[in-house]
Amino acid sequence: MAVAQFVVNGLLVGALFASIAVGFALIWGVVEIINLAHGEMVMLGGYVSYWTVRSVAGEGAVSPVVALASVPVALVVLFVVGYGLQRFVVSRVTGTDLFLTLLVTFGLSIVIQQLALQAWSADPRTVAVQFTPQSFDVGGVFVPKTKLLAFVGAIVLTVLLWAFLRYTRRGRAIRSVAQNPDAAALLGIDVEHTRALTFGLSSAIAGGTGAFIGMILFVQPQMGLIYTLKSFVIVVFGGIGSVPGALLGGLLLGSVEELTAGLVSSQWTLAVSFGLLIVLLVVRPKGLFGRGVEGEP
Amino acid sequence: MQTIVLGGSMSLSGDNADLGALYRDSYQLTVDAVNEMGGVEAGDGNTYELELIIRDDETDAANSKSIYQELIDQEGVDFLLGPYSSTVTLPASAVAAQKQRPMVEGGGASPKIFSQGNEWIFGLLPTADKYALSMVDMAAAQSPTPESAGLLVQDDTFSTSAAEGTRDRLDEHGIELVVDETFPSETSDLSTNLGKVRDAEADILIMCAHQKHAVIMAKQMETQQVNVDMAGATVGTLSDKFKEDAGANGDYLYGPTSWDAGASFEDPIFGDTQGFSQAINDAYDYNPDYHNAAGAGVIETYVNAFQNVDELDPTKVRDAVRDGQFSSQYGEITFLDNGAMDISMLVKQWQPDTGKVLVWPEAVQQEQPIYPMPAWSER
Repeated sequence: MAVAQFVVNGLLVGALFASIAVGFALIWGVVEIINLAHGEMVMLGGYVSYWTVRSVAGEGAVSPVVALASVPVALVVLFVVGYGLQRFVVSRVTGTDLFLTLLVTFGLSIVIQQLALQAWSADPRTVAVQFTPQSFDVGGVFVPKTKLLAFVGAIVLTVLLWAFLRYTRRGRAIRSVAQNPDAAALLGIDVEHTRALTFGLSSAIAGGTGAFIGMILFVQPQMGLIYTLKSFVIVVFGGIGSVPGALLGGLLLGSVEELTAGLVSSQWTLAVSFGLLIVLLVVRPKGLFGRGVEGEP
Repeated sequence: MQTIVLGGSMSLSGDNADLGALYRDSYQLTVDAVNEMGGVEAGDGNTYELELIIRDDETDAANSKSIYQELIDQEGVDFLLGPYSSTVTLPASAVAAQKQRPMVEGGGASPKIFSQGNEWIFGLLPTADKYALSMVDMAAAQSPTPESAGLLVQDDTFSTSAAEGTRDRLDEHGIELVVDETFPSETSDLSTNLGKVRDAEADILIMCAHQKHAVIMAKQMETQQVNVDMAGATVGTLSDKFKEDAGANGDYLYGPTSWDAGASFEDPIFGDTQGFSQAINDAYDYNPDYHNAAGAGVIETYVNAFQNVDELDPTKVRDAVRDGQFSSQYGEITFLDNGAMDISMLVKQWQPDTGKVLVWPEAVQQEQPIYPMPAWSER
């Protein structure tokens, strides 16, 4: 029974990892940038949700409806932030040396983090969601309701993104830029706008997930790095171009981490996650579903 | 009037910013109070105004170390105020030893700080290994007597030291340790570890960690349905901010304190303990806890030393700190040979009707502990 509980705990947080990683993978695939500021988009989304809820409902626990209503606000705000960042900052180094793009996005992450520290201090903040009781028991496995809400929300965000990419004209444009930006441009697609749109969408999904993280854990200015690192691991697990791969990778990472915490020790979770990453890179560099970290077909 | 500069780093941002702010407030309040009283009449016959330099170390030990080196080498600061947390204080105290400047601190409690043979460090808090002892003693004296315990430990210098003392005391009481888990400082999800405590049916739960994780524990104990007779954390459960963040989930939780605002120790600056408490309330609009009291005690320790030296030389001031013995709002301040103070912790509990009350030791308790804590389904 304990193992079942560890797996459930892992799946519940793994869906959040996945929805963050999907955006990370999208930017990697379309804009060809490893966005080290992706975790900061999660953090900003969490703060947007927190301040939205505070301004509407004040302090204290709020109903799930009020908490959920803050998610679209985070999506919209972070879309604008992401679009602007790509259009006015990141586009300047797109297509240049990998090291330069890493440096710029790393710099962005530091700037955003420090601005958040100045604006909101280092206090951990949370959106308390009122459920009575807070969890339910399924055959001895406890499922916190807020985490279940966040799990469903993260899955919905991921599926919506997948459907957008697959079934809409704009989504096809994004995929075509990912495959061959020059050919896409010849077909009349505005590559720069499409890349900014991609950055905006990825940031929006990260921000929406950040809103859910604010409901189940904490929002803090320094929280971003760990989500960027986890996204990196998940993208390598699932493959750069694959939304289902990222989803499975996220659920797998969450489960592995919680099983490690439960059966071994919490101190070993990151070591085991990154150990798996190394093993996977050696054994199957394409990832579970994708076109690989080297971009091979 | 001449000036004596007191300088140091503090966690004004980062994970421990909440508690770091308490020290900054107390340092500033006490320095201002001394200056308003006309300054320090030092043993060399001169009267000095105090000047305070506090830099933000962002809760980072490397930053803190650099700040102390800069304060000493470039700004000529001779008298150091300690930072917050053992992890930050330990390397900072090494700088004090290397540069031969006294450091008086109220925020580092690991025994490692005082076991290095460092003659320049003085700490006002009980050493970390003592933090949870009173909570264990209290639980062992209740009915039903606990037979098993869960121990969750943050992997930092203070908390691992606190856990060592806790394990020994549990063993002395014959309480079996059924869960003993160490978790990384950066984690913000304790569900799995708390689930282990629930599944092991531990009677009591002790967390050796700081405020952020105390809040997580309070919240996730409910979602994981962890029903124990007693739960407490070594740091953070007694602050107003903890209760604000944890809400009703903070009720019935315990925490240790080296100080009580209701005590009546005489104090040369604030009159007595309650005078200090009132001064903090007036200046900052919150109720002080032992971090505030220790912070003020740091400044008062220096003031007492300055009054007892014939020259403001770092070595003479260090010796005066070591030999000093005086009453303050914090209690009787006197240091052991290793620079630590010998203090036992009191235990407080958040009770739904009365708020935060002193429950242990019995001789000074304001209320009986509510023991066992009610199950989550009964709240």
